[in-house]
Amino acid sequence: MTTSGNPSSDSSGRRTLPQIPPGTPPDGADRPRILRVAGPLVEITCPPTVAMHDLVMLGGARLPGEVVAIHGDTATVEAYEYTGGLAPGHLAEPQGRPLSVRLAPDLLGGVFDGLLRPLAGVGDLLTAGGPTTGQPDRRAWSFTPRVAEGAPVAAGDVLGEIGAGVPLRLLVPADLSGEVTWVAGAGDHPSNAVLAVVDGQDVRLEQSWPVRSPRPVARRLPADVPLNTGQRAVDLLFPVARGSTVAVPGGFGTGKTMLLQQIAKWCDADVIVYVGCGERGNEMADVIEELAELTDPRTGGRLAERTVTIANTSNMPMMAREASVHTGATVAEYFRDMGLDVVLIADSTSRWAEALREFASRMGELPAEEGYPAGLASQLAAFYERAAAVRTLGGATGSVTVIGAVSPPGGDRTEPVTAHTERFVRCLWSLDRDLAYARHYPAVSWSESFSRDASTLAAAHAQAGDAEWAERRGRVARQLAESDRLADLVELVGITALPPRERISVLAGRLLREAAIQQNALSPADAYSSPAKTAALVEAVLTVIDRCLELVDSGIPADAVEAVDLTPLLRARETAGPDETAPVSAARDTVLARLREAA
Amino acid sequence: MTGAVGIEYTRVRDLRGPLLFVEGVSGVGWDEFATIVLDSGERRHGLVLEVDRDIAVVQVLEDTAGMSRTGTRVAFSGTPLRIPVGAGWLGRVCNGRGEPADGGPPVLGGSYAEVGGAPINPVRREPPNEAVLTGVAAVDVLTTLVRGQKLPLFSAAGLPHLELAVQIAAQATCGGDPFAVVFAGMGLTHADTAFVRHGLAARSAARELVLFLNTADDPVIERLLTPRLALTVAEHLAFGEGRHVLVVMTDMTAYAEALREVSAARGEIPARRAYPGYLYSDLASLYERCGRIRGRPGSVTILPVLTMPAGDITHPVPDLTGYITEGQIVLSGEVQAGGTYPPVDPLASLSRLMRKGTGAGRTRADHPAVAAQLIAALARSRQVRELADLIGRSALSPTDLRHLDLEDAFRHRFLAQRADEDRSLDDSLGRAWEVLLTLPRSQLGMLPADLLDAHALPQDQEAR
Amino acid sequence: MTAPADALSPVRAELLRAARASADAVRDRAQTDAEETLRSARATAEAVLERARELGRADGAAEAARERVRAVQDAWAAELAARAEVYAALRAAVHAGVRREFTADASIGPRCAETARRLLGPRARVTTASEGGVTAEVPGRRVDLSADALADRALDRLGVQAERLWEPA
Repeated sequence: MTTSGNPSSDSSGRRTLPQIPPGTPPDGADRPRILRVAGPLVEITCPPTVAMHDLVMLGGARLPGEVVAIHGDTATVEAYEYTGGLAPGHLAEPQGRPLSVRLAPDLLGGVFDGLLRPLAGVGDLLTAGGPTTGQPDRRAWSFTPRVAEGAPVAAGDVLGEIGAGVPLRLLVPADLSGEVTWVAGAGDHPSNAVLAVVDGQDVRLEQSWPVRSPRPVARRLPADVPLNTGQRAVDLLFPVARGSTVAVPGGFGTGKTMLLQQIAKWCDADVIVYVGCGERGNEMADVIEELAELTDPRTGGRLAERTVTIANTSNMPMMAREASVHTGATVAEYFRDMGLDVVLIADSTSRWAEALREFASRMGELPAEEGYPAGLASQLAAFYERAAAVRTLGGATGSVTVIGAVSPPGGDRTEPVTAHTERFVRCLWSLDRDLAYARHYPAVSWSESFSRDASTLAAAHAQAGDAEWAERRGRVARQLAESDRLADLVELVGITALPPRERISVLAGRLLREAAIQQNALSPADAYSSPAKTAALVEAVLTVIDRCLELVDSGIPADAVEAVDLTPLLRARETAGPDETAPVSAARDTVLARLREAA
Repeated sequence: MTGAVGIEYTRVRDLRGPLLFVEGVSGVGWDEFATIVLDSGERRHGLVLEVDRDIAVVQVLEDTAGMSRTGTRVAFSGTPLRIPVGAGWLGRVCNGRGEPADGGPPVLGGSYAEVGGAPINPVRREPPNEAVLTGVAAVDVLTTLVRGQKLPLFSAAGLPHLELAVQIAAQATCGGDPFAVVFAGMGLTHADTAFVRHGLAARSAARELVLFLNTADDPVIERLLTPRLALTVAEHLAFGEGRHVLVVMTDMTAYAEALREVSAARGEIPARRAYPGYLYSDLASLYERCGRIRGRPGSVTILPVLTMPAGDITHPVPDLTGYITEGQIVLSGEVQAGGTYPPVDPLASLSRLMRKGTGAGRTRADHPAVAAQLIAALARSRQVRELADLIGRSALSPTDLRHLDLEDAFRHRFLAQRADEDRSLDDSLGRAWEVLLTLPRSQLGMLPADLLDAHALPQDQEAR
Repeated sequence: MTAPADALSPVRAELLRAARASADAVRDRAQTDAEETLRSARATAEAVLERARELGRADGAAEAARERVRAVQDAWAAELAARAEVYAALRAAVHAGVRREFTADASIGPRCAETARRLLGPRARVTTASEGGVTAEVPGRRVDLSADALADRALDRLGVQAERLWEPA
């Protein structure tokens, strides 16, 4: 159901359909009609001009659907809405173009369904064909031209800048180049106004793009700039680069959605595209409300203003869920092309895969593992491939980082979606049920996660002045593994049976977990942690551990060291603000002083 | 269910499991409701699963037993199944298809609603933030049920989940606001049915209850309809009439089995444990009907009850339910074996919306801190108990021993409750304090000092 | 199904008008009977409740509370039974009324046959129903325009209006 490659002849993908011969009545017998309806699978009579992935409007309510198979003179359509009441004999209207979405600056701050139809203003309940009535937001945007009339421009070049919280640009569309014959003056313009004419073609702020076609770029760049997520467990141990890919597998109750929401709120990207794909309605309501209330620490605006929310909850039509991840990727690429760093969050890709499975099963495709279609792996791979750090057509750099949640059934990591996804991503943040059960959040497992970006990013951190970054990460990882190993032993023989250094190692594991890695999403001071604060906390804990080891090495009994009250260090992540390091150093010094007294 | 003069189609081609294939139809839409009349005059009902050219595939709710190719007539209603909705349902007891089982006349309503419901627009949802009080201490204090939430009860064979579900249905209230309970029983034994009717009779007579009961010997396919009827009635009572409605649905495992049976009859490709691949979406189409809507006074709160086959929480039904719902209340065989009712496992249970639904102005100012401290203390108690099992009680520190005392106090003073005991929140929180104060003050770090001062007993042995 | 159903609506309206007119008249008559049935049921219920209250004054509070709950339940059960009786009486009366209508107005039967042929085509095999009206059939399709079927539809369309029988005016 996914395609790659170039969009058809022009940017809207429009092709010409043969005209209906004059004199044909509107309900003429030769117009395409519905033959069969089985839930979202609809068979229609198919004129020879209909192409794969063309959009088709079905029945009197004009329900959107997409052509997924053509066999002889019939076509199979996947409907994106509830098809109740649709009957053989009803009309089908092929649109002669693939499923496309309207891209415009006003997507920022908006909430949309899986086909990018605005959800604001369509009523309390969603009925089939309903969201089409939601009108796009056509407020005026301040425009400043950056080219002169008569200048030659190529695809992707900047025509002008748009005043918004996020720096937006008007670009020459991907398939266009030539002379700027006209450009609008500085001032406010609605998004459907023509702002420039290039090579005789109108250029507007809003444009249409087929969702299954990745937008073209000049070339891919290596992903080597860190994305600071503000979550210590991630930034410290399993960092991700801008333009990279992450999967977040976790059983229910492991805090997957909470972690993704934290990243949506606090990571240092320019634009967030949040795709709630087959997830909870109350949770979507919550995230929408919170984003509208929270302040963006970098711009001072509302967090909602840098966010595009695509809400396709689990009870909304399943097939629109299938489209929603592609819709999200298209929106992300649209902002990337303006030279922005975009994070695309998809929660949850498993629900998307289930939609693929559901439809494949209705199509009678031969199933592979657990009923999923044989093409599952390639479709997952194609989705994650839409992530990249790029040189845009216009020469700017931009990126799309993809973070996909995975919901393994029964927590079984060998199931197809999890197993395939792990192969395609550069980072894996595996959420652990035992950690979550112990209320250790975020429950990112240090033994089951990985980051293939870590070595590249170590170099980036070193270049940025933090030469210790790789060493710090290595020490923390080793210490956590060692503490886990000892914890198993302690359960068998009791702590007192361990030699002093090992006893301190157990203490060290606890300190790292509680003082540095755990993070309280509900605390204003701790919800977000700047790179400086993260480094300070880890340094403080490591210094204290070193001191404890020195003490036992010098003959002080482990009991005495364990008895020292380390509370100030444990509380430092809450007492220091998101960007503060001084309270962390103070806590470290207090604890070091207490240790000196114990000696 | 409407009274149009419809054409009846009589050319039945195939009968297979619960499916009936009728040919020669025209203008029949997908998901339409059908009425089937047998030669004997018996009426049955069905839904259109597929319509291909002039053949309609109808899923017969009451099964196809006794149907033949001749003498079977099928009429289509022109719309998906719709039922009357309104306050007329209150006080009524019906079978799993919504037909009276209480000797009363058919339920009539001022308006009709489609049983499939329509998804609530995510931007129109109001995040839930007020409690439903159940009078059960373990629920009210530790896993508070919030208006608009979906919170399942995970249980296993032999545990008193039905007792607890009935107790909650009988006792639940929303302060002084208009309230109602809709109870959907699926695959219940006759003894269970009698128990439910008896336990909820008072609420029924007070016209605060709607009861739908599909028994174990009722048609299996009918179970697919029962929760949808319940939710449709509940939605109207909530969003049309401004009531807070609690919907109890038991047993969802029986529901999922019915779904599997239909899927198998249709020859669909099975996913995990032969359940259909769309089990998640199907369950979501029920559970997601809970919520609140901006600017409307009522709410729909859903309490699904499910038995985990062989106590396995990774079984698809509890697993997928857990992915959709906002927490879970888990019953434990171990607590049950200890003779405590309700046998709630406090550490495995969780209400994700509790944070917003408790505290000052919601329940009581000290509630969130008390709940968090009690859970933390119980987690420590469990560790200590495991340790004691390994190395013996004598090796435990005094603080560890106090944690064992706390666990005992928790079971006997807080958790244990009679099945007909409606405990006030103040009483429940008072008991929680009593349990917590078995620990020395130094172990109660999550409780603010002023709260501790206000609740600590004079003889609190801080000196030790 | 929407389109054909709409095309049928004038036919349906015509056919059901007679049936409904009869049903309305019957309902008014039924109202009187219903009031009597309900009055007697409610009097019984009140007596039960009163006995419970007395018992409560005599016995312990817990027992009294239980008894009161039981009495409320009994009263509600009696009310439901009375309503069912009233509804059944209405149904019987509507059936009888529609049959009478068919006997009284000889033109209804042929009109039904005509409608049946419009729905199923001229080849339809039309059979007169014993209680009035017709059923008609072609291979694969059938329509039921018998008096009882029409009466049932009229009753269905009455819907919530029937509740006026037991709601206080």
